[in-house]
Amino acid sequence: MLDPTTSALRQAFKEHYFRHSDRIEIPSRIQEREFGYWPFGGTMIRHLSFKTSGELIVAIARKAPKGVYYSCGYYHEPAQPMAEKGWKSGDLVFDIDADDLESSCKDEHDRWTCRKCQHVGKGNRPGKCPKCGNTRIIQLNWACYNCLGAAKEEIFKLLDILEKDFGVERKRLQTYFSGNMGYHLSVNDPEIMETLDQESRVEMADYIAGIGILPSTLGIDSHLSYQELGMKLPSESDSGWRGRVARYIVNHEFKEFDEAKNLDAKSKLLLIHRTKRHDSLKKFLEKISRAAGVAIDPSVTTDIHRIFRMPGTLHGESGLEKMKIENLEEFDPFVDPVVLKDEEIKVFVKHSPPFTLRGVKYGPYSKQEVVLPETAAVYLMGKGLAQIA
Amino acid sequence: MNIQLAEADLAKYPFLSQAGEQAKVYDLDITELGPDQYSLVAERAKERVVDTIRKRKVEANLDNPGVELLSFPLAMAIVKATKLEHLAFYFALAEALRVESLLVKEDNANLIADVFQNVAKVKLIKTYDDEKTSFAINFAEYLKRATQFHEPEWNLINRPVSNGLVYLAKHHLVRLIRAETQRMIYQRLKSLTITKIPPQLEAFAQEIALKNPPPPKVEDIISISPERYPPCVKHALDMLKNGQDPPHFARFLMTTYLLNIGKSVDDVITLFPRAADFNERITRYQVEHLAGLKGGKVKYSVPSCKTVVSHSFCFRDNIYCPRITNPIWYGRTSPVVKKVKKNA
Repeated sequence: MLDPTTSALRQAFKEHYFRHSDRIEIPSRIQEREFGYWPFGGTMIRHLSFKTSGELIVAIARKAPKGVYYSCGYYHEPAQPMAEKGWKSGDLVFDIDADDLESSCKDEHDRWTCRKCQHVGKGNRPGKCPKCGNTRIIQLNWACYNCLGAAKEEIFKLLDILEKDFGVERKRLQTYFSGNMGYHLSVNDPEIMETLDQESRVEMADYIAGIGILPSTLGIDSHLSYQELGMKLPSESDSGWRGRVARYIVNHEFKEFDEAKNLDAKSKLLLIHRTKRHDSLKKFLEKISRAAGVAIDPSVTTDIHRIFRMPGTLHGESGLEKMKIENLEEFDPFVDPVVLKDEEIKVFVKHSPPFTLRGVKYGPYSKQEVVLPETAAVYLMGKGLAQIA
Repeated sequence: MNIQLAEADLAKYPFLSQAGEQAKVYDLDITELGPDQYSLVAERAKERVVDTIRKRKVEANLDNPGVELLSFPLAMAIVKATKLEHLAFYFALAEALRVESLLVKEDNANLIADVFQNVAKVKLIKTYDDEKTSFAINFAEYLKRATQFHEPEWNLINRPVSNGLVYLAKHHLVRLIRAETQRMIYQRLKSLTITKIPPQLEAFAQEIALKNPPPPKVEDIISISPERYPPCVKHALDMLKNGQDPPHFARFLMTTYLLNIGKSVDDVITLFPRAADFNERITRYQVEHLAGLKGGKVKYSVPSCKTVVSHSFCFRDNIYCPRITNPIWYGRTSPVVKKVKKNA
């Protein structure tokens, strides 16, 4: 028996799937994939298999779950337990989550609540509640235009690396809004999907994230004279990571190198090389390459058995759709994926930062009853911030 | 690419298909060779086997290409006659190292490409860097091979990568296919059927077999005290002890490590009660799942150091970490000893 709020959420999803089943994007090679779903008021159900798109759509509309997932991997027996599925190959996917970006707005809109004393604080949760010392703390992460804009910037960086460094054609790269806190990207290149095993995906993820760069890769060697160094250091026009680090260094200011403000990459690197000892230089370059890299979630890219939210389905924490993006520049995460109705619902909101959906501003709210359109009510109820009044 | 190779080239790379054909030109029934030539070939074949045992590497000797070429199959026949599995393994590696040392010195870019195609079935792309030939291969083919190497210079980020290609200097390129060359020679040895070899060589093979018995199988009884756990596992344990909430990956790492060094499910579970969100029933199920007792019944292995780094949970030290690729090997290799600078 579902409580009234969960029941209302499920009803909203059910009606949506009933009216707009055509929005569900059926993945390729459906018979070789594992499917799973997370029902409202239940736990994740996995290891499902469907023979046809019709069967899959009927199941989604009937269950109206808070999350629908499909495997990135292709299996001989997708419905069997993991060890018996027989992995054949898998899509290469990336996840960029606004949560992982240290945006300045996090402290403004993210909240944590102590499970014991209900004390509420701003930003990321502390190790323990400063009021009662309890360590059981619930974190609420919130997405705004600023942090989703930062996530979009990361997607542009990812597209750049995949195209220029890995030679993947743009038409084989499909970007999606995740439905809540970020963006997904799928590489639809059969050659890449077939050849990359898990270890290779780990290596590729590290490359994209800028992990593990050596000073020698950038031509830095303490045995070289300054003249030789000048020949070996990277310039902005270099391809791959040499050029990426050089461009980052040119385009950013470093408080420890005020005097280097207007210099080119080689000159800045020479200065950095002169003033830092080997270990701190290595750490400094690692920091730069991490910053110039893409903030992907490595566990998504490297887990070949992961199930991933299905495009065209709704996100249980927002009611927004995981949506294929045709024009990334113009995509608006608070307009385009808002697909639920405007029918009004009366809810009690515990607390909510201000937010915008379909161009309408809502909130902030604090312990009050409000009448909201279904889209906004589901947005808050999905996050556990409101309940049916 | 198929190029016509001279005998001198075939002597360098005797596993190439053309080398086999060339051996047939000699109508190789080794017993039919004249005594002088037989003696030279037999001695060189024995030398290849002895080098394998003593140096773990066969040095190339190209003074007499015909002898070098013919002694390869004969050396394989000797190794096969010893019936020693470990010698077959080492012979394949020693010959692979011989090939590698020759490829590094090889000036003929077409020949390098041909060997690469033959061994790895990978197309090499020739490029020119400062008028010197260098090579590029598809990034996925590079990763397939390079991920087995531990040194950070092999990480993709430390290679020039552009438009789907990884650019490599010759010495790195040939290192990539060592394992495949070894595997190819080993497979040939495994599938080799010999009816008989000359009595003198048979006696030599028996002597080798007698002097080089298979190494004893050492049961790996692992007992590692907590102070010798790898830093990443120690960090996860410290977080638990301090009432902090280790990330999911840290719990996975710690649990798989402890299970793989022989700790019981109960031993591992006792570590968890300090965690903020402890629930014994769920924890037991999860630990038993990782131990291969529940669910898929597959015991999970410890994630590699690369995976630990990817999850930002690496707290490497400079003693054992530089020499391992997986936390499970921590403390089981010799430590890195820092050279102490003498006073100027």
